[in-house]
Amino acid sequence: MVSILLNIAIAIISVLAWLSVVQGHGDDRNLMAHGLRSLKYYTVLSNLFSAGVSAAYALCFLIPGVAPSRTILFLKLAATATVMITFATTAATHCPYCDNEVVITEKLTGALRPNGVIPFKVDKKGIKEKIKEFCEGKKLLPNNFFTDQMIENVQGVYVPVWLFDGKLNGTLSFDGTATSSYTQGSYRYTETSHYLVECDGGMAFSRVPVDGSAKMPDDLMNSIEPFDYSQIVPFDGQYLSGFLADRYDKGPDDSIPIASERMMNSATKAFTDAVKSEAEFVSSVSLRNNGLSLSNPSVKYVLLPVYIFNCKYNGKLYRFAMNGQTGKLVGELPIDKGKKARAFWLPFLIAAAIVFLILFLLLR
Amino acid sequence: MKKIVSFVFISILITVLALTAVHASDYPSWFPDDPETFEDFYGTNLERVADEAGLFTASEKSELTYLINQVREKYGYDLVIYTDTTNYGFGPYDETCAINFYRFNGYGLGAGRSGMIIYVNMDPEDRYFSVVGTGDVETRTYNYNETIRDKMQPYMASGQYYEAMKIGIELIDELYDTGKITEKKTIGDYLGYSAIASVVGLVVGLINLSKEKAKMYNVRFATYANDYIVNNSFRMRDLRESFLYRNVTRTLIQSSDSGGRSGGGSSHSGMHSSGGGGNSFSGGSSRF
Repeated sequence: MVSILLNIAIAIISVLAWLSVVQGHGDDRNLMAHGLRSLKYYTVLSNLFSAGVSAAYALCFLIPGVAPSRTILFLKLAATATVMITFATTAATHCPYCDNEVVITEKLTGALRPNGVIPFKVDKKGIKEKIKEFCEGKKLLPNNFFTDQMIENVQGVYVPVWLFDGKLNGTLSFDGTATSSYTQGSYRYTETSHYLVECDGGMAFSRVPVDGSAKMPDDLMNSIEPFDYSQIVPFDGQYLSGFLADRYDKGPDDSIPIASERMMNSATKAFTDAVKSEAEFVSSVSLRNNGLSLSNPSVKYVLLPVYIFNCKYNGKLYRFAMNGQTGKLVGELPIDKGKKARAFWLPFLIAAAIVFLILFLLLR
Repeated sequence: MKKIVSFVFISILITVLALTAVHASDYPSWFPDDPETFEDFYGTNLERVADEAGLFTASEKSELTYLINQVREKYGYDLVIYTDTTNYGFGPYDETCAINFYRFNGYGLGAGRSGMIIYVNMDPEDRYFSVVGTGDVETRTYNYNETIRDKMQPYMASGQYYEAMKIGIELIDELYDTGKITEKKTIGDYLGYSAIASVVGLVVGLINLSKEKAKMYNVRFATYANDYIVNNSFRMRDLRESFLYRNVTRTLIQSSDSGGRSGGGSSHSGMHSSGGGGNSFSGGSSRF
C-alpha cells in the first residue's frame, strides 16, 4: 500500500515538475511556489520534487524539439528546505523566506563567466536623490508619484552586456551637387552640376554596448548609457551579493548586428559631414553606396549595474531604469490630467489676454 | 485770298475770346478777379453752413450752424460746411475748391486761420465730399480726415446729408478736443480680437503642453555610437569628385511693377496737401 501511494506521489510530482520546466506559465509557477512553501518541511517530497525537476530538465535536452522554458526549479535551501523557482538565466537572487542572498555560481563560470563587472555606486540614499532630481521641473507629474516605500523596493540588477570593439573600413560613394544661378535678360538661370563623390577611410569604435538579456528592454538600456568603462573590475561573485543578476540569453552573434548598425550610422554621418566640408566642387551630398564593413570585431562580456523599478498609476504600469553607476534615470512618467489641463489653459489664457489687450490698445 | 485768311484768323480769335469769357463766367462769385494779388484775411462773419446745393432744410441748417458755433467757441478753431453743385473746375485736386472757398471767403480763426471745412460737391457727374484742415489743426486733419470721411460715407451714400454732417461735426469736436479720434469698438471688432487672441493662445498653450509632455519621457533607442568612437581614429583618404552632368533650368523673372497694378473702381479716396495763401491745407475726398 505504501509503495502504491509513493508511486502515485512520485508520478504527480514528476508531472508537476515537467510542466514547470516545459510550459513555464507564470501562474503555474506561483501556484507551485506557494504549494511547495507549504511542503517545505516535507523534505522527502521536496527531494523527490527536485529529483523530478532534474530528470525533466535533462529530458528537455534529450528530446528533439522540446526546449526548457525560462523557468527551472532551484534546489532547496539548506536552512529552510525551501525550493525556489527562478528564471533559467538567473545568476543571483534573494530568498524571501530565509532572507539569504543566493548566487548561482554555475551560471557564471566557464564560458558564462563575465570578463568584468561595474559595481553599483549609487546606494538607496543616492537613488532617492536621483529620483528627486529627475522629478524636478516635471510639471505634469502627479503628486507623490514616487513614494518612499516604492523607493525602498527598488531592485538592483546586474545586466549582462556585450561590449564590442571594431573598426569600420571601406569606400563610400555619394551623389554630390553644386548649384549656381545667374540672370540673363528676363530669365533667371539655375545651373546644377552633378558629381560622383567617393572616398576611402575608416573609423574605430571601442566598447559599444549591447545588452545580452532578452528580459531587459533595449530602449531602457540604451537610454541609461553611457557607463564609465574605466571602472570595470575583474568579475568576482561577491559583487553580486544583495543584487539580482542574470546571465546572458542573447549571445554575441545575436548582438553584433545591433552594435554594427550603431557603429555604421555614426561612421556614415562622420564621413558625410567630412565630405561636405572638404569637397572642392560640391555643396550638398547624399549617400549613394556605403561600402564600410566591420573588421576584427572583438567582444567582452560584462555585468553592468542597473536599478529597475515599476510603478502603477491609474492601472498602467510605468517602468524605470537607473544607471547604477552614474544615477542616470530614464522612463516614462505618468501625466496628471488636472496638471495637463493647467499646462494648456494657463498659458492659453495669459497669451490670449495679452494679445487681446495689445489689439485693443493698438487698434483704437 | 487775303479776305479769306483774315476771316479765318478773326473767327479763331473770336472763338478763343468767347471760350475764355465762358470760362471766366464759370468762376464763383467769391473767387477773386486776381488770385495772385489777393490779400488774405480771416474771421469773416459769413455763415458757416454755405448750402449752395440745397441739401439741408432750414431747421437742419440752423441746427448745424448751432453745433458749429459751439465747436468754434469751445476750441477757437473754425468749422465750415460748404455744399455746391459743381467744383468750378478747380484743380488739380478734389479739395482745391474747398481750399479756395475757405481761403478767399476769409474763413479761419486767429492769425493761423485755423479750422476745417467739409465740402460736398453734388455735381451729378462727379459727386464727392472732402474734409480739409489748415492752420493749427492741419496735422490732426492729416491723421484723421480719412477716419472722419469713413464714418460719414455711409450716410452720404444714402442721402442722409444732415446726419452725415452731424457725425462730421461730432468727430471734429473730438479731434479739436483731444487731438485724435477714438474709434468706437463694435461687437465685430471684439469678436475679431477674441479670435486672434484665441489662435495665439491656442498655439502658446499647445507649445507649452508639448514642451511639458516631452519632459515626461526620456527613453530612446540608441541609433548612433558616437560615445564610443576611438579618439582620432577617423581617417578619410582619396576624396574624389567626378563630374557627371549638368542641368540648367530657366525661370521668367516677374517684373516688379506687374504686381502693383490693380483694377480701377468708381470710388476714390485719397489725401493731398496743398498750399494756398501762405497756409498749407491737408485733406482728402471720397466719392459717394
